Amino acid sequence: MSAMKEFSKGLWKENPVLVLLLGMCPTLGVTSSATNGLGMGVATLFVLLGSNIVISSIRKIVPKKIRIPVYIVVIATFVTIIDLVMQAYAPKALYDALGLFIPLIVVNCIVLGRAEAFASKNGVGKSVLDALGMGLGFTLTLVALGGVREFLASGSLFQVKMIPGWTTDFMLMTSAPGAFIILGLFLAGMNALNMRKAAKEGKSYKAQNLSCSTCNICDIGGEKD
Amino acid sequence: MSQQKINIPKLGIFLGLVAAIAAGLLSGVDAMTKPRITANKKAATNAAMKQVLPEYDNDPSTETNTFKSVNGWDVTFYTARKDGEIVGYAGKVDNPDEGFSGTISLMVGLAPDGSVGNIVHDGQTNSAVIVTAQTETPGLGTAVTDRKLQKTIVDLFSGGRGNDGLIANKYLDWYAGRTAAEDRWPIVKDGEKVNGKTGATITSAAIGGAVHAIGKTAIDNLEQLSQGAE
Repeated sequence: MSAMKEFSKGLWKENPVLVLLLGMCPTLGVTSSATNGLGMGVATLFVLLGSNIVISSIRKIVPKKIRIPVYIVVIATFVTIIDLVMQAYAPKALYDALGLFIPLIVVNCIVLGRAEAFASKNGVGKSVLDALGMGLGFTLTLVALGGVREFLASGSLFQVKMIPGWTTDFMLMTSAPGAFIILGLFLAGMNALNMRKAAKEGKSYKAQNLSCSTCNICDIGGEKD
Repeated sequence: MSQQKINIPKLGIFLGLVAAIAAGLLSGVDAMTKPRITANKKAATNAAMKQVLPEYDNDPSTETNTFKSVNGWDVTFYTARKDGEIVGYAGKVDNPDEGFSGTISLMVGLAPDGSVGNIVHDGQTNSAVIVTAQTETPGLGTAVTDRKLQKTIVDLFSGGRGNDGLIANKYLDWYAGRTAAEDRWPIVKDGEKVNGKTGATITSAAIGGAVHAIGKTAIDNLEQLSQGAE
Protein backbone atom coordinates (compact mmCIF):
# COMPACT_ATOMS: atom_id res chain seq x y z
CA MET A 1 0.00 0.00 0.00
CA SER A 2 1.30 3.42 -0.83
CA ALA A 3 2.04 6.03 1.80
CA MET A 4 -0.93 8.15 0.78
CA LYS A 5 -3.25 5.20 1.21
CA GLU A 6 -1.93 4.43 4.71
CA PHE A 7 -2.85 7.96 5.67
CA SER A 8 -6.17 8.32 3.93
CA LYS A 9 -7.67 4.97 4.89
CA GLY A 10 -8.45 6.30 8.36
CA LEU A 11 -10.47 9.15 6.95
CA TRP A 12 -13.08 7.12 5.10
CA LYS A 13 -12.41 3.51 4.09
CA GLU A 14 -11.36 2.34 7.56
CA ASN A 15 -12.73 5.23 9.59
CA PRO A 16 -12.24 4.13 13.21
CA VAL A 17 -15.70 5.19 14.37
CA LEU A 18 -17.94 4.70 11.36
CA VAL A 19 -16.38 1.57 9.85
CA LEU A 20 -14.32 -0.18 12.53
CA LEU A 21 -16.80 0.88 15.27
CA LEU A 22 -13.98 1.37 17.76
CA GLY A 23 -13.94 3.87 20.60
CA MET A 24 -17.71 4.01 21.00
CA CYS A 25 -17.51 5.13 24.64
CA PRO A 26 -15.73 8.46 24.04
CA THR A 27 -17.67 8.88 20.80
CA LEU A 28 -21.03 8.75 22.52
CA GLY A 29 -19.92 10.30 25.77
CA VAL A 30 -18.13 13.51 24.83
CA THR A 31 -19.77 14.63 21.60
CA SER A 32 -22.37 16.85 23.22
CA SER A 33 -20.76 19.81 21.45
CA ALA A 34 -18.43 20.38 18.52
CA THR A 35 -15.77 21.84 20.83
CA ASN A 36 -15.74 18.75 23.02
CA GLY A 37 -15.49 16.51 19.96
CA LEU A 38 -12.53 18.49 18.69
CA GLY A 39 -10.82 18.33 22.10
CA MET A 40 -11.19 14.58 22.46
CA GLY A 41 -10.15 14.02 18.84
CA VAL A 42 -6.97 16.08 19.06
CA ALA A 43 -5.97 14.58 22.42
CA THR A 44 -6.45 11.08 21.02
CA LEU A 45 -4.48 11.97 17.90
CA PHE A 46 -1.45 12.89 20.01
CA VAL A 47 -1.59 9.75 22.13
CA LEU A 48 -2.12 7.56 19.07
CA LEU A 49 0.87 9.11 17.35
CA GLY A 50 3.11 8.59 20.38
CA SER A 51 2.04 5.05 21.10
CA ASN A 52 2.29 3.99 17.45
CA ILE A 53 5.85 5.34 17.22
CA VAL A 54 7.00 3.62 20.43
CA ILE A 55 5.26 0.33 19.76
CA SER A 56 6.39 0.03 16.16
CA SER A 57 9.99 0.67 17.23
CA ILE A 58 9.97 -1.96 20.00
CA ARG A 59 7.84 -4.47 18.08
CA LYS A 60 10.74 -6.85 17.41
CA ILE A 61 11.88 -7.25 21.00
CA VAL A 62 8.50 -7.66 22.70
CA PRO A 63 7.67 -11.34 23.35
CA LYS A 64 4.41 -12.17 21.65
CA LYS A 65 2.67 -13.59 24.69
CA ILE A 66 2.92 -10.48 26.80
CA ARG A 67 2.61 -7.87 24.06
CA ILE A 68 -0.87 -6.69 25.15
CA PRO A 69 0.19 -5.80 28.73
CA VAL A 70 3.33 -4.16 27.35
CA TYR A 71 1.24 -2.06 24.95
CA ILE A 72 -1.11 -1.02 27.73
CA VAL A 73 1.84 0.08 29.89
CA VAL A 74 3.25 2.08 26.96
CA ILE A 75 -0.10 3.74 26.25
CA ALA A 76 -0.84 4.53 29.90
CA THR A 77 2.63 6.00 30.35
CA PHE A 78 2.18 8.14 27.27
CA VAL A 79 -1.21 9.42 28.40
CA THR A 80 0.11 10.34 31.84
CA ILE A 81 3.13 12.15 30.38
CA ILE A 82 0.91 14.15 28.03
CA ASP A 83 -1.44 14.97 30.91
CA LEU A 84 1.40 16.24 33.12
CA VAL A 85 3.18 18.16 30.37
CA MET A 86 -0.05 19.82 29.29
CA GLN A 87 -0.90 20.77 32.85
CA ALA A 88 2.48 22.41 33.17
CA TYR A 89 3.09 24.04 29.81
CA ALA A 90 -0.10 24.23 27.73
CA PRO A 91 -2.20 27.42 27.85
CA LYS A 92 -4.79 27.19 30.60
CA ALA A 93 -7.73 27.44 28.22
CA LEU A 94 -6.44 24.48 26.19
CA TYR A 95 -5.90 22.28 29.23
CA ASP A 96 -9.30 23.23 30.62
CA ALA A 97 -10.86 22.09 27.37
CA LEU A 98 -8.87 18.88 26.88
CA GLY A 99 -7.91 17.96 30.45
CA LEU A 100 -11.11 16.12 31.17
CA PHE A 101 -10.63 13.74 28.24
CA ILE A 102 -6.99 12.86 28.56
CA PRO A 103 -7.27 10.18 31.27
CA LEU A 104 -10.11 8.62 29.29
CA ILE A 105 -7.81 7.92 26.36
CA VAL A 106 -6.10 5.04 28.16
CA VAL A 107 -9.24 3.00 27.76
CA ASN A 108 -9.94 4.13 24.20
CA CYS A 109 -9.70 0.95 22.19
CA ILE A 110 -8.72 2.79 19.00
CA VAL A 111 -5.27 3.32 20.50
CA LEU A 112 -4.78 -0.29 21.57
CA GLY A 113 -6.48 -1.49 18.40
CA ARG A 114 -4.04 0.36 16.13
CA ALA A 115 -1.10 -0.73 18.27
CA GLU A 116 -2.05 -4.39 17.93
CA ALA A 117 -3.43 -4.43 14.40
CA PHE A 118 -0.96 -2.07 12.75
CA ALA A 119 2.01 -0.72 14.70
CA SER A 120 3.09 -4.17 15.90
CA LYS A 121 3.37 -5.35 12.27
CA ASN A 122 4.71 -2.30 10.44
CA GLY A 123 7.65 0.06 10.54
CA VAL A 124 7.80 3.44 12.25
CA GLY A 125 7.14 5.50 9.11
CA LYS A 126 4.01 3.62 8.13
CA SER A 127 2.79 3.62 11.72
CA VAL A 128 3.11 7.41 11.91
CA LEU A 129 0.98 7.77 8.77
CA ASP A 130 -1.53 5.28 10.14
CA ALA A 131 -1.76 7.18 13.44
CA LEU A 132 -2.19 10.54 11.70
CA GLY A 133 -4.91 9.19 9.40
CA MET A 134 -6.79 7.33 12.10
CA GLY A 135 -6.49 10.24 14.54
CA LEU A 136 -7.70 12.72 11.96
CA GLY A 137 -10.56 10.44 10.93
CA PHE A 138 -11.56 10.10 14.58
CA THR A 139 -11.35 13.87 15.12
CA LEU A 140 -13.41 14.72 12.04
CA THR A 141 -16.09 12.19 12.94
CA LEU A 142 -16.35 13.47 16.51
CA VAL A 143 -16.53 17.09 15.36
CA ALA A 144 -19.26 16.23 12.85
CA LEU A 145 -21.22 14.25 15.42
CA GLY A 146 -20.76 16.92 18.09
CA GLY A 147 -21.66 19.67 15.65
CA VAL A 148 -24.92 18.00 14.60
CA ARG A 149 -25.90 17.30 18.20
CA GLU A 150 -25.01 20.79 19.40
CA PHE A 151 -26.91 22.40 16.54
CA LEU A 152 -30.03 20.30 17.07
CA ALA A 153 -29.86 20.84 20.82
CA SER A 154 -29.47 24.59 21.02
CA GLY A 155 -28.96 25.99 17.53
CA SER A 156 -25.30 26.73 18.14
CA LEU A 157 -21.97 25.54 16.78
CA PHE A 158 -18.69 25.76 18.71
CA GLN A 159 -20.68 27.58 21.43
CA VAL A 160 -21.75 30.30 19.00
CA LYS A 161 -25.50 30.67 18.53
CA MET A 162 -26.25 30.26 14.84
CA ILE A 163 -29.94 31.03 15.27
CA PRO A 164 -30.44 34.00 17.62
CA GLY A 165 -33.51 33.62 19.77
CA TRP A 166 -33.32 29.83 20.09
CA THR A 167 -33.58 29.73 23.86
CA THR A 168 -35.02 26.37 24.87
CA ASP A 169 -32.56 23.52 24.65
CA PHE A 170 -33.61 20.26 23.02
CA MET A 171 -32.30 18.12 25.85
CA LEU A 172 -32.57 14.76 24.08
CA MET A 173 -29.67 15.71 21.82
CA THR A 174 -27.30 16.63 24.64
CA SER A 175 -27.81 13.32 26.43
CA ALA A 176 -26.80 9.77 25.56
CA PRO A 177 -29.95 8.73 23.63
CA GLY A 178 -29.38 11.64 21.24
CA ALA A 179 -25.84 10.43 20.69
CA PHE A 180 -27.08 6.94 19.77
CA ILE A 181 -29.71 8.31 17.40
CA ILE A 182 -27.31 10.61 15.54
CA LEU A 183 -24.57 7.97 15.40
CA GLY A 184 -27.10 5.50 13.98
CA LEU A 185 -28.06 7.99 11.27
CA PHE A 186 -24.37 8.58 10.51
CA LEU A 187 -23.74 4.84 10.12
CA ALA A 188 -26.82 4.43 7.93
CA GLY A 189 -25.72 7.36 5.79
CA MET A 190 -22.22 5.89 5.42
CA ASN A 191 -23.66 2.55 4.32
CA ALA A 192 -26.07 4.24 1.91
CA LEU A 193 -23.21 6.16 0.27
CA ASN A 194 -21.09 3.03 -0.05
CA MET A 195 -24.02 1.10 -1.51
CA ARG A 196 -24.64 3.77 -4.14
CA LYS A 197 -20.99 3.81 -5.07
CA ALA A 198 -20.94 0.02 -5.37
CA ALA A 199 -24.14 0.01 -7.44
CA LYS A 200 -22.58 2.48 -9.89
CA GLU A 201 -19.66 0.13 -10.34
CA GLY A 202 -22.11 -2.71 -10.84
CA LYS A 203 -21.16 -4.52 -7.64
CA SER A 204 -23.23 -5.26 -4.58
CA TYR A 205 -22.06 -3.69 -1.34
CA LYS A 206 -21.57 -5.76 1.74
CA ALA A 207 -20.93 -4.13 5.08
CA GLN A 208 -17.52 -5.02 6.42
CA ASN A 209 -17.47 -8.25 8.34
CA LEU A 210 -16.68 -7.39 11.95
CA SER A 211 -17.22 -10.82 13.44
CA CYS A 212 -14.58 -12.59 15.52
CA SER A 213 -13.35 -14.67 12.62
CA THR A 214 -11.85 -11.64 10.91
CA CYS A 215 -10.71 -9.78 13.99
CA ASN A 216 -7.02 -9.88 14.71
CA ILE A 217 -7.08 -7.96 17.96
CA CYS A 218 -7.45 -10.77 20.44
CA ASP A 219 -5.59 -13.75 18.99
CA ILE A 220 -3.72 -13.88 22.27
CA GLY A 221 -0.98 -16.46 22.32
CA GLY A 222 -0.88 -16.65 18.55
CA GLU A 223 -3.10 -19.72 18.22
CA LYS A 224 -4.50 -18.46 14.94
CA ASP A 225 -1.10 -18.07 13.25
CA MET B 1 -4.56 -25.52 20.92
CA SER B 2 -0.94 -26.31 20.51
CA GLN B 3 1.04 -27.01 23.64
CA GLN B 4 3.84 -24.46 23.59
CA LYS B 5 6.62 -24.03 26.09
CA ILE B 6 6.18 -20.80 28.00
CA ASN B 7 9.19 -19.33 29.70
CA ILE B 8 7.37 -17.61 32.53
CA PRO B 9 10.40 -16.12 34.37
CA LYS B 10 11.70 -14.55 31.17
CA LEU B 11 8.32 -13.03 30.36
CA GLY B 12 7.91 -11.79 33.90
CA ILE B 13 11.31 -10.15 33.88
CA PHE B 14 10.60 -8.47 30.54
CA LEU B 15 7.28 -7.12 31.72
CA GLY B 16 8.86 -5.95 34.97
CA LEU B 17 11.56 -4.19 33.00
CA VAL B 18 9.01 -2.39 30.82
CA ALA B 19 7.06 -1.34 33.91
CA ALA B 20 10.25 -0.14 35.62
CA ILE B 21 11.22 1.99 32.60
CA ALA B 22 7.72 3.44 32.50
CA ALA B 23 7.77 4.19 36.23
CA GLY B 24 11.17 5.84 35.98
CA LEU B 25 10.04 7.96 33.05
CA LEU B 26 6.90 9.03 34.86
CA SER B 27 8.63 9.99 38.07
CA GLY B 28 11.10 12.03 36.02
CA VAL B 29 8.35 13.87 34.16
CA ASP B 30 6.43 14.35 37.41
CA ALA B 31 9.43 15.91 39.14
CA MET B 32 10.04 18.12 36.10
CA THR B 33 6.49 19.43 35.82
CA LYS B 34 5.48 19.65 39.49
CA PRO B 35 6.70 23.21 40.19
CA ARG B 36 5.02 24.51 37.05
CA ILE B 37 1.74 22.74 37.85
CA THR B 38 1.71 24.14 41.40
CA ALA B 39 2.40 27.63 40.05
CA ASN B 40 -0.39 27.26 37.47
CA LYS B 41 -2.87 26.17 40.14
CA LYS B 42 -1.93 29.16 42.27
CA ALA B 43 -2.36 31.48 39.28
CA ALA B 44 -5.81 29.99 38.65
CA THR B 45 -6.79 30.60 42.29
CA ASN B 46 -5.53 34.18 42.04
CA ALA B 47 -7.50 34.76 38.84
CA ALA B 48 -10.64 33.44 40.53
CA MET B 49 -10.06 35.73 43.52
CA LYS B 50 -9.72 38.73 41.22
CA GLN B 51 -13.21 37.96 39.94
CA VAL B 52 -15.01 37.63 43.26
CA LEU B 53 -13.29 40.28 45.39
CA PRO B 54 -13.42 44.07 45.27
CA GLU B 55 -10.18 45.84 44.43
CA TYR B 56 -7.32 44.87 46.75
CA ASP B 57 -3.60 45.55 46.95
CA ASN B 58 -2.22 42.71 49.09
CA ASP B 59 -1.58 39.10 48.08
CA PRO B 60 -4.55 37.23 49.59
CA SER B 61 -2.98 33.85 48.85
CA THR B 62 -0.41 34.54 51.57
CA GLU B 63 -3.06 35.37 54.15
CA THR B 64 -5.23 32.32 54.57
CA ASN B 65 -7.35 30.74 57.29
CA THR B 66 -8.83 27.26 57.07
CA PHE B 67 -11.84 26.25 59.15
CA LYS B 68 -14.05 23.19 59.22
CA SER B 69 -17.63 23.81 58.16
CA VAL B 70 -20.53 22.36 60.17
CA ASN B 71 -20.68 19.35 57.87
CA GLY B 72 -16.92 18.79 58.01
CA TRP B 73 -15.66 20.34 54.77
CA ASP B 74 -12.46 22.36 54.80
CA VAL B 75 -13.20 25.97 53.93
CA THR B 76 -10.21 28.13 53.07
CA PHE B 77 -10.50 31.88 53.40
CA TYR B 78 -8.22 34.36 51.67
CA THR B 79 -8.15 37.82 53.20
CA ALA B 80 -8.12 40.77 50.82
CA ARG B 81 -6.89 44.14 52.04
CA LYS B 82 -6.58 47.59 50.61
CA ASP B 83 -4.28 50.02 52.42
CA GLY B 84 -4.21 47.53 55.28
CA GLU B 85 -7.98 47.52 55.76
CA ILE B 86 -9.88 44.28 55.13
CA VAL B 87 -12.14 44.72 52.10
CA GLY B 88 -13.43 41.17 51.88
CA TYR B 89 -12.71 37.47 52.06
CA ALA B 90 -12.68 34.87 49.33
CA GLY B 91 -13.94 31.51 50.59
CA LYS B 92 -13.08 28.32 48.74
CA VAL B 93 -14.69 24.94 49.28
CA ASP B 94 -14.94 21.59 47.53
CA ASN B 95 -18.34 19.96 47.76
CA PRO B 96 -17.50 16.32 47.09
CA ASP B 97 -20.77 14.80 48.31
CA GLU B 98 -23.78 16.49 46.81
CA GLY B 99 -23.16 17.14 43.12
CA PHE B 100 -24.78 15.05 40.39
CA SER B 101 -21.40 13.74 39.26
CA GLY B 102 -18.20 14.41 41.13
CA THR B 103 -16.87 17.28 43.15
CA ILE B 104 -18.10 20.84 42.68
CA SER B 105 -15.59 23.51 43.74
CA LEU B 106 -16.75 27.00 44.53
CA MET B 107 -15.16 30.31 45.28
CA VAL B 108 -17.33 32.92 46.96
CA GLY B 109 -16.38 36.51 47.65
CA LEU B 110 -17.64 37.74 51.03
CA ALA B 111 -18.07 41.25 52.35
CA PRO B 112 -16.22 41.99 55.61
CA ASP B 113 -19.46 41.28 57.53
CA GLY B 114 -19.64 37.74 56.12
CA SER B 115 -22.47 38.24 53.64
CA VAL B 116 -22.13 37.06 50.04
CA GLY B 117 -20.58 39.84 47.98
CA ASN B 118 -22.05 41.88 45.14
CA ILE B 119 -20.06 42.62 42.04
CA VAL B 120 -21.46 45.45 39.95
CA HIS B 121 -20.52 45.11 36.34
CA ASP B 122 -22.07 46.71 33.26
CA GLY B 123 -24.84 48.12 35.41
CA GLN B 124 -25.81 44.64 36.59
CA THR B 125 -25.39 43.34 40.10
CA ASN B 126 -23.95 39.85 40.12
CA SER B 127 -23.19 37.73 43.13
CA ALA B 128 -19.55 37.00 43.88
CA VAL B 129 -20.11 33.27 43.43
CA ILE B 130 -18.17 31.30 40.85
CA VAL B 131 -17.82 27.59 40.27
CA THR B 132 -14.14 26.81 39.72
CA ALA B 133 -14.43 23.10 38.93
CA GLN B 134 -17.34 20.78 38.16
CA THR B 135 -18.26 17.79 36.04
CA GLU B 136 -22.04 18.22 35.94
CA THR B 137 -24.27 17.23 33.04
CA PRO B 138 -23.66 19.56 30.07
CA GLY B 139 -26.72 21.68 29.36
CA LEU B 140 -28.56 20.86 32.58
CA GLY B 141 -26.18 21.08 35.52
CA THR B 142 -23.81 23.44 33.72
CA ALA B 143 -26.65 25.92 33.19
CA VAL B 144 -26.54 26.42 36.95
CA THR B 145 -22.76 26.37 37.39
CA ASP B 146 -21.35 28.19 34.37
CA ARG B 147 -20.98 31.89 33.91
CA LYS B 148 -20.57 31.80 30.18
CA LEU B 149 -21.11 34.55 27.67
CA GLN B 150 -23.65 33.45 25.08
CA LYS B 151 -22.31 34.51 21.72
CA THR B 152 -24.51 34.58 18.67
CA ILE B 153 -23.66 34.63 15.00
CA VAL B 154 -24.69 38.30 14.96
CA ASP B 155 -21.95 39.11 17.50
CA LEU B 156 -19.35 37.40 15.34
CA PHE B 157 -20.08 39.72 12.43
CA SER B 158 -20.52 42.87 14.49
CA GLY B 159 -17.21 42.37 16.28
CA GLY B 160 -18.63 40.70 19.36
CA ARG B 161 -19.20 41.85 22.89
CA GLY B 162 -16.22 42.10 25.14
CA ASN B 163 -16.73 41.16 28.75
CA ASP B 164 -13.97 40.65 31.27
CA GLY B 165 -16.06 40.79 34.43
CA LEU B 166 -18.49 38.30 35.89
CA ILE B 167 -21.12 37.12 33.46
CA ALA B 168 -24.67 36.96 34.78
CA ASN B 169 -26.11 33.63 35.82
CA LYS B 170 -29.46 34.02 37.52
CA TYR B 171 -29.09 30.87 39.61
CA LEU B 172 -25.74 31.93 41.09
CA ASP B 173 -26.72 35.59 41.32
CA TRP B 174 -29.58 34.70 43.65
CA TYR B 175 -27.08 34.56 46.51
CA ALA B 176 -25.95 38.18 46.12
CA GLY B 177 -25.91 40.03 49.42
CA ARG B 178 -27.38 37.18 51.45
CA THR B 179 -26.13 36.26 54.90
CA ALA B 180 -26.06 32.61 55.87
CA ALA B 181 -28.47 31.68 58.65
CA GLU B 182 -28.42 28.52 60.75
CA ASP B 183 -30.13 26.44 58.07
CA ARG B 184 -29.46 26.20 54.39
CA TRP B 185 -31.31 28.25 51.88
CA PRO B 186 -34.19 26.27 50.40
CA ILE B 187 -34.64 26.13 46.66
CA VAL B 188 -37.07 28.97 46.10
CA LYS B 189 -38.67 31.02 43.39
CA ASP B 190 -39.86 34.50 44.19
CA GLY B 191 -40.96 36.26 41.04
CA GLU B 192 -38.06 36.45 38.61
CA LYS B 193 -35.55 35.30 41.20
CA VAL B 194 -34.77 31.60 41.42
CA ASN B 195 -31.83 29.62 42.77
CA GLY B 196 -32.76 26.23 41.32
CA LYS B 197 -33.23 24.93 37.80
CA THR B 198 -35.84 22.37 36.83
CA GLY B 199 -34.01 19.21 35.81
CA ALA B 200 -30.91 20.21 37.73
CA THR B 201 -32.24 20.18 41.28
CA ILE B 202 -29.33 18.16 42.61
CA THR B 203 -26.74 20.52 41.15
CA SER B 204 -28.69 23.54 42.41
CA ALA B 205 -28.89 22.09 45.91
CA ALA B 206 -25.18 21.23 45.90
CA ILE B 207 -24.32 24.82 44.95
CA GLY B 208 -26.62 26.10 47.69
CA GLY B 209 -24.95 23.76 50.19
CA ALA B 210 -21.46 24.92 49.23
CA VAL B 211 -22.35 28.63 49.33
CA HIS B 212 -24.00 28.08 52.69
CA ALA B 213 -20.97 26.21 54.02
CA ILE B 214 -18.71 29.12 53.07
CA GLY B 215 -21.08 31.81 54.37
CA LYS B 216 -21.90 30.03 57.62
CA THR B 217 -18.28 29.14 58.39
CA ALA B 218 -17.30 32.77 57.79
CA ILE B 219 -19.97 34.05 60.20
CA ASP B 220 -19.02 31.49 62.83
CA ASN B 221 -15.36 32.48 62.66
CA LEU B 222 -15.70 36.14 61.79
CA GLU B 223 -13.83 37.32 64.84
CA GLN B 224 -10.80 35.23 64.04
CA LEU B 225 -11.00 36.13 60.35
CA SER B 226 -11.01 39.86 61.08
CA GLN B 227 -7.78 39.47 63.03
CA GLY B 228 -6.00 38.23 59.91
CA ALA B 229 -4.18 34.99 59.32
CA GLU B 230 -2.82 32.80 62.08
